[in-house]
Amino acid sequence: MKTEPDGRVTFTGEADLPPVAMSFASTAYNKTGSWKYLEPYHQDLTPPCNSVCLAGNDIVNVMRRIEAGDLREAALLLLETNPLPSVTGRVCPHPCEKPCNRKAMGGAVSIRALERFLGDWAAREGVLPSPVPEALAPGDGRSVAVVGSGPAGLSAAYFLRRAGFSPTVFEAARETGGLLRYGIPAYRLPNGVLDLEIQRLAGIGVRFETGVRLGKDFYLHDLATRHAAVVLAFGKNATRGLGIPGENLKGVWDGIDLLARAKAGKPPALGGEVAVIGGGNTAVDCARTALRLGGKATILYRRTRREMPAFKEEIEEAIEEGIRIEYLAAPVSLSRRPGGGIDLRCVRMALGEPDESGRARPVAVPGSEFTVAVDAVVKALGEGVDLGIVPENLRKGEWRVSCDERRRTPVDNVFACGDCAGDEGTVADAIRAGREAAHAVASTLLDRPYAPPNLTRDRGASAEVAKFKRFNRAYFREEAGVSPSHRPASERRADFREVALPLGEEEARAEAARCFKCGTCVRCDNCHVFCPDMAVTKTARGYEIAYDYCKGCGVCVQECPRAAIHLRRAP
Amino acid sequence: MTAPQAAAREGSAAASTRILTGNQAAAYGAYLSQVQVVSAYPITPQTTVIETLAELYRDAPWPSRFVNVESEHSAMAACIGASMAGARAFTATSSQGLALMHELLHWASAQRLPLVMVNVNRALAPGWNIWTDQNDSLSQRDTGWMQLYCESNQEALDTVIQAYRVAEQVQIPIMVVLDAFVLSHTAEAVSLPSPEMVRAFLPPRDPPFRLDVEEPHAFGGLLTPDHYQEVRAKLHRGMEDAIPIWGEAERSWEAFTGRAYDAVVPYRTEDAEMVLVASATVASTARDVIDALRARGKKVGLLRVRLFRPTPHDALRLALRGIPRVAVIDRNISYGHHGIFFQEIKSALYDLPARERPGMFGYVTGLGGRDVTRGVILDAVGRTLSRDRAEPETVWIGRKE
Repeated sequence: MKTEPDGRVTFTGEADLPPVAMSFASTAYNKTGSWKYLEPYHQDLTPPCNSVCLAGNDIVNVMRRIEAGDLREAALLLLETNPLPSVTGRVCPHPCEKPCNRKAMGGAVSIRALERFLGDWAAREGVLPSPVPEALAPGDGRSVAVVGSGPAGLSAAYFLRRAGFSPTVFEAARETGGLLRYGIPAYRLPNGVLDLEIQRLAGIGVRFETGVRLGKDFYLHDLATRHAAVVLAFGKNATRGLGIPGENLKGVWDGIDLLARAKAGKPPALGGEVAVIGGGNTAVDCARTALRLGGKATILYRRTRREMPAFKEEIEEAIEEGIRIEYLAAPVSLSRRPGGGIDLRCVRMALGEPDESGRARPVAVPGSEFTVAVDAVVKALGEGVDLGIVPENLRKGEWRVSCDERRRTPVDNVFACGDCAGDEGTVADAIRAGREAAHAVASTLLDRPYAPPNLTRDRGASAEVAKFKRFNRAYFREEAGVSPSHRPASERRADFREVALPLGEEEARAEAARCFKCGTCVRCDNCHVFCPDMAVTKTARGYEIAYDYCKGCGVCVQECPRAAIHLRRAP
Repeated sequence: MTAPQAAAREGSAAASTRILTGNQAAAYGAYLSQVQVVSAYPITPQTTVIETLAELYRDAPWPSRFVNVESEHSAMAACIGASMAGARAFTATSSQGLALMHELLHWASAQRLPLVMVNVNRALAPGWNIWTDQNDSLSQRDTGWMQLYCESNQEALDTVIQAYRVAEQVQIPIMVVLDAFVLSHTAEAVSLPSPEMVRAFLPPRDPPFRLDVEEPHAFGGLLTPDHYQEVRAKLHRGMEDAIPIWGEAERSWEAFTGRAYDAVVPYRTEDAEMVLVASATVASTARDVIDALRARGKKVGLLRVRLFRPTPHDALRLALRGIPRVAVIDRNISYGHHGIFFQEIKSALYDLPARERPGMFGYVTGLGGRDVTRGVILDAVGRTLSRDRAEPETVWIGRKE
């Protein structure tokens, strides 16, 4: 037996040979990689949930940590992008679940329920985001004023603090939270949950001043002189009127006002028959609140269910609870009914051509008026921003503060976000807007780009969204999820306790395990195990492909369950 | 707990006697050899071999696995894998099952894996037939496996144990062959050697090479024209070496148990003018016929061939040289040629000097389990003695005219 310089072994005769075909040297001398015309490469893709999350959460990696039972790490990752997980875990319309690839095999992962589970766990455990703000130098502790403590203001303050600034949040009401505290009923978001989230902000050094109102107790000018920057983040503070006769009668209530009084535990006596006018979340919340106060609630909406702007599941829950919705009906006038109560005069509507919002424009049907006898009417047509509290040069039109795409108002170092800046939308929208404003402040004050982090891209994932058709389905089983259970309608309509029940830890881990981890390498080792050339080796950070030996067969790509390896033309 | 299990636990040195079918005896042979991996797929008439083993291995006191598989091909593959890793492995099959294994039989022998397999002879389909017939095992003649044909249940048990010893010495797999039903399902008294005795006869397997992460080699890779022939020649020489090594094993076994069989077994061949050659259980009936004819003064004898591969050329020549007439009874047929034992033995004797070279008579009979009766054997003897020269074509006897 002779060993050649390149490592090959040759046999000199029969006596030399083994009795069977067996190797005595490595085949490493043979660079089989030279045969390939395609080559694989590891590249994470953006999971569909991550791609649509308004808050920018790295949902898939949160799922992985929950699945592993590493709740603290999961919470820290979530807190990187979402200052209010217990809140969004309850009230976010979870657009993340819509494109979930799991949908095809047992239903979308209940991402929102998991966010609630994790947010509540983090709140109970007092988890603070890491690293602690003291360790962050860039903002150098400069003071920033934030006006409004709704989700946008809280988010702006949170991210300002994490960028090293010292934010103070000014709130007109006696308690912080804005819409979260006064506008969302307790059966969807109990105050205790909100308190714990705000406590976390206080825990990292955000200061709060309550009961002080811009335009009354202080002016924008005062803030601008005392702070390095000001972020306007106040919400909708004026209810739109019905614009019909009789809307100021006794027994006609303002929707936002009703919700605030109910949340504060001091609800008004509405009476038996309650008509709620509107089709948004406020209308549905008012109807469900009226129901819980012992009344019978009917929603009057001038379009059909398809056009209702309220969250679909809220409408469904309301109907389950016994709320009636009168579609294609609009109020014409209100009048006092002899002997008590209100006559609500309505007209039938028909859907016409689409209006500028894209929805069909409702048109009154002549001669179709009818009268409904009710005890109370709740106005829930939507709310507007009262711009009286800011100088004129900051007003843009009737309803919003003027700001550019970088959230700068015409006044130096004054920024705006949230409902007042036209960010109409969900709590998650407000969180995103608040974060953008915080980073805009940082960029301006530090005089260098301070980009909002994109956790998914920052960890190396490409912008391409992972598609189910690229997965190897042999690795996934059809598996039904733990759809978060709701209390029975008959029970929940009698009180203000939460409708949706929480997940237990076991349930949560099982549900997180259903997540496919789309386009995300989870170190399953399939590429390493299946490579017929042993060309995929494990490293501390993942895998390395020895292109000298990889023949480009594509087995690793085929066997990757979740499309985290791809083929490209070999150079 | 079964008797051998109890004996294995207690370490009893004494042999015990049990009433066992051939299949049970073969299974006990494997168990007493402390086989570590059994993998098999059931097929009539082999099924009771693995049923017995399944029961025995439910709680064998040494590290072992009974691997269920979905086919004979996989059974052999599992045994090959186990054997490559250094384990002692066993399987059993029959007929179609053996045919299905064919590809892997070559893998086992060319990889020099000392497997032992029991094949219960059964006719091949079509025309389904579950009865005894040697064409299944003889179809595997050239796969590089040794083949031994048993005559009794005791021999089945003993041969399995002997086979492991020889297989592991020469690194060649061995097929131990039993007649369907006549042996496989017929019970007789069998002496079970004690586990200690078997351990003394059969040391633990010590493979010269195996799959071992500490000493990695790739096995079964490319073998180019540069080397293929040399490596195959080694297998052929291993087969030749197996003949004396088998003889040593017989002497050793005889020392332990008083029983020996050898490659070929002559019976009353001294001064014979004619010798019948038979294998397996046909030899038992033939022995009766020889006794009857000898009683009438006919100079006839019997040679039972037990070792078919490797061909025991020397023993055959020694036993048959100078005998005027040799009549071979084959329970098999190589279509278009002759009975297979006949052609092999004729070829082995061709090298004898012309004056010592017997006249060769070949008879085919007993296919598909047709009984080979004393009458059929007498017919073969009568035809042989009544002719000076063999009939030119293959002669079928015991056949309905």
